[in-house]
Amino acid sequence: MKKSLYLLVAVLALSACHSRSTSVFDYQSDCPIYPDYFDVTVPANIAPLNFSYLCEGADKAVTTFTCGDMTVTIKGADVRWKMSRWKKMLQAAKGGEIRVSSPIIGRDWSIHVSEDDIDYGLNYRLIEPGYEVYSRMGIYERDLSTFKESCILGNDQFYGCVNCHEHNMGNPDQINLHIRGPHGCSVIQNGDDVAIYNTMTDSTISFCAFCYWHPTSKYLAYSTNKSQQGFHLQKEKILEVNEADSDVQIYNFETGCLMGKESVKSTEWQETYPSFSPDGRTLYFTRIPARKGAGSVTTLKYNLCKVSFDPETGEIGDEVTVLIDAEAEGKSIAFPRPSYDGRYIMYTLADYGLFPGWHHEADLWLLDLRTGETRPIDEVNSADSETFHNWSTNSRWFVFGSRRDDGLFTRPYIAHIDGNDNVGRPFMVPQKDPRHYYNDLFMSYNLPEFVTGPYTLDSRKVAKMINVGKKRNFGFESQN
Amino acid sequence: MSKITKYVCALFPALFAVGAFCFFAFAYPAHLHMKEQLLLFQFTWDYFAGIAAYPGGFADWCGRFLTQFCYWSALGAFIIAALLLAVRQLTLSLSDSRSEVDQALSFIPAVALWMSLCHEYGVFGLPVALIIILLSVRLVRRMPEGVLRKVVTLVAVPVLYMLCGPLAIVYALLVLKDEKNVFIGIAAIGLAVICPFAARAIFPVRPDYLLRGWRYFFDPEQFPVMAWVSAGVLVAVVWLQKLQPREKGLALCLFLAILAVSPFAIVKSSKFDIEEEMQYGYMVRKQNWDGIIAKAGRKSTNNFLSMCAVNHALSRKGELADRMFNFLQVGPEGLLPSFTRYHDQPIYAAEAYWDLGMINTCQRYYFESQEAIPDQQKSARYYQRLAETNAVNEDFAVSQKYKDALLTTLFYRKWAKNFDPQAPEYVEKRDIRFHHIDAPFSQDQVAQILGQLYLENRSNKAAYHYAMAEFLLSKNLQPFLQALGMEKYEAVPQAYQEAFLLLFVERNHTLEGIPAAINPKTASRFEKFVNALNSEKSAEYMQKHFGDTYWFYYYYVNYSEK
Repeated sequence: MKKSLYLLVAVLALSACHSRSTSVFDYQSDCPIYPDYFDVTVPANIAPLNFSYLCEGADKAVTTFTCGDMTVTIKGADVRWKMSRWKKMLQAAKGGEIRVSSPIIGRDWSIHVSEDDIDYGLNYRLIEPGYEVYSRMGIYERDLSTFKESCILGNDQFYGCVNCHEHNMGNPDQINLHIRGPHGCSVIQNGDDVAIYNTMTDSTISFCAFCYWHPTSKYLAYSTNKSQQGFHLQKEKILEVNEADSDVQIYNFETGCLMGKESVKSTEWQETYPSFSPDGRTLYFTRIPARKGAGSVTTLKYNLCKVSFDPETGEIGDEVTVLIDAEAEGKSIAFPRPSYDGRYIMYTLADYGLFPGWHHEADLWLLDLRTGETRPIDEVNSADSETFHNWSTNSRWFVFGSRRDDGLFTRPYIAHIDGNDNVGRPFMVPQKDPRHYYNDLFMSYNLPEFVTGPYTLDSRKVAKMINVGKKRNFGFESQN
Repeated sequence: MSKITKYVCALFPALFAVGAFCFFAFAYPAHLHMKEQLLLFQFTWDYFAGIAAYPGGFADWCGRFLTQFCYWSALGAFIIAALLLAVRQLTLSLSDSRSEVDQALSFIPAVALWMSLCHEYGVFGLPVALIIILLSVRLVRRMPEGVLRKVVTLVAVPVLYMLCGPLAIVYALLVLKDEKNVFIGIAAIGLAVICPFAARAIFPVRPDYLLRGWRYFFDPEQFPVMAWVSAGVLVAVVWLQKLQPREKGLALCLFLAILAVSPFAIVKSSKFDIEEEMQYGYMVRKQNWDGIIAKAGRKSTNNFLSMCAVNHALSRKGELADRMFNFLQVGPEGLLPSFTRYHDQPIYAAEAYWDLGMINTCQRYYFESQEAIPDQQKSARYYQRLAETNAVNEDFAVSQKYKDALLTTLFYRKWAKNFDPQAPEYVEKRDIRFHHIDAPFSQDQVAQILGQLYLENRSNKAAYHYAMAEFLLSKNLQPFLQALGMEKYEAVPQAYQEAFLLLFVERNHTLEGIPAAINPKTASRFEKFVNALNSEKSAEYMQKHFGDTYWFYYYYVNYSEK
């Protein structure tokens, strides 16, 4: 019954004539600011929201921030906070707002300061938004309360590409990193145990790629993907990621084996993007009918599905339930991410395909698991791509990558969601000099996720392990 | 000192510098242009810090600073000559006696560096690093004996490691030669050995990079052999200054030996075939179409990339359909070479795609080539084109981003300042690019894709002729025939007439009834060709008499995939 309810509501919502929200980013002003921090909602432990006015005569701008009896005035086109004053004002405004006035803007505006704290930092990959060839890249960590950024692992340290990364609910002691290239492997840090793995087995179609930790840390859900790239001739599109085949498997730390079952590793279906529910008893994933090499990429319409999982026995369920039949509406779902409080699943909806980062129409959607309702998150979506989102550990914040700046370089945005389903205006991750920082940065923020503390991975040790290449092998267990 | 030796000692440095200048300016200029092309030197703190913050980074940054002047190859050649001469003079300056033998021997390290710069991956940072090291040795030598000198001698080692990388050991070895207190010399060597190991705890880069240096060669994956050979030679020469015998006539013999052996060694280190390919690339960059055609006319090329440049030049001059078989064709790969994951090869095809209006493909080739630059840096030239492709694609914010980066350079600032995304050149490109049809790019389908491009905009004649050329080069004459009627000609182009005759005779077994559009002279020559073919004349004969025809290509050129 509940399954039918989900489907009905989801289909109705998808089929409703969804006109793209433009209101959120139509903040008209005599003088735009960069980043756009008008009326955003921020946590009380965020780094200063420095910004710049982007109009003539801005060097004479006077900006006044007021909260209660505290007033701070900053002169000039570039608004730069002193850390101590910012922290003080932010603490005073917790649960309220900071009023901002500047004659050059033409109106007052606010910075809403939520009572909900945010996690320690963000973890992301910095990479040029390229095609097939890669240059310098790395996995980085950013302390959200300051501007400090550090490299966890860069491809200066070994020859290859550092790829999908995933923490277990933001736990800095548990991370999975996928390395491609001559030293291809998966690096798994599970507490004190750090090892590199050969994730390819005789029973899987490729190396493990997208992954998601089981909340008990006993399992890791992986997809294995046979991907290809295509390059468009038309200007609106650049590239497309196509899949010849894909499967989902679950790695069992205890046995050292990947577990596969017909329900998620079927010859009839291509499954990908696995994620566990916070209670660990459901595995979400997306799938399409197996293509067997036929059809255009535009026919790739992934549905959101789920299957049961028993953490005690490691048994994957038999019956697959379609949560959202996006295909019926000519759409495709990617990257389902359940909130850690179990209330929502956030996903990306695009016209087709499984790699929405290159789709201008890709938007974030929210499935409310209590009601079965699904809706576009108009409060944060823009005219360009939004995707690769992740939840904070208290499920009150989510981070996502957006290409709204220029249509190519993905930038990280964070938005607040309260207990009543209200989503605040998102803010771009602050920088000391955001205008120059983001303009000079020719890299995209890939897969940002929250972490609850500084990383503990010993990158030198890991780099050495990767270079030496002594890998543990994954085994495979079929549950069919 | 004999008079001859005296004159030789006085003239040799000048001869050496002039020789280096002439070599790089006149025999090897395209290599200098290529070094400049693969560089984005920005006058920003971030750029400096990004390079200089690693061991060897400062010398590398200085080398990059100098490399940007290769924008003008003569200036680049002058800088190389000055660097090599500086290395020689500093090497000599470490000799106490400055004997004629020392004067001769001191050229050897500079010759080794010259050889290293002949490699397309040779970098200016290497001679700069050695110059800094030699200057440091001189500085320490000039200090009075005492504690301060000892302290400076030792402190200089880690400092030089940071500035110049692991070649800092050269400093330690040279200091050891002069140091009266041998323990200080040995301690300096010990420090130089320890530095790369200690650096492993500080710098998050591959340990072997820190040990062997990854800034002495453009490709950090490769061991910088010539850097260590040059350094070894330098140390040996300086030590020999102490040990060398002083026989009469030895100096003159050494000078003569250097004069005889150096050119041979330098020529052996040079890659003139690559230089020629790069010259074609540079002429494409400068749009010197007449120069390309003239060069190919003087000496035929069978290189895919050079041939791509020749066909591109013919297309730009509107002569592709008439004259393409006047040049030795090497198959479809010589028209639009397949993409390779290489930092400069795809650019030849990318330039052709740019002119044809296949903007996305051009953009992809440029972007990927840039990503493939071995030292993981960026290229000003590539940024320039990416600003343009994004402007044509109306991705103005991205275009602006590239433009902003170029504003921080010396040689591209003016271009960036004047860059107008709405300039007629870009507006015209917007007209001829794909508007309606979308499909993934496929090298195998490139003729069909070009045909579609032409059908979307019939004024894009270049796309039509490229498609036809692709059909001809792949000997795919059926689609060629179908497409022949799509365009109207005042006179049917020569290559098309020749291909048509082949098809006509194949079907009708006679030349009777050929259309009036076929030039009678061409028909008559074809008759002679057929006769020669039937009488089984040698390939050499056929090439001599019919090498400029499509018929010869069709029957005698067995092209292969790259």
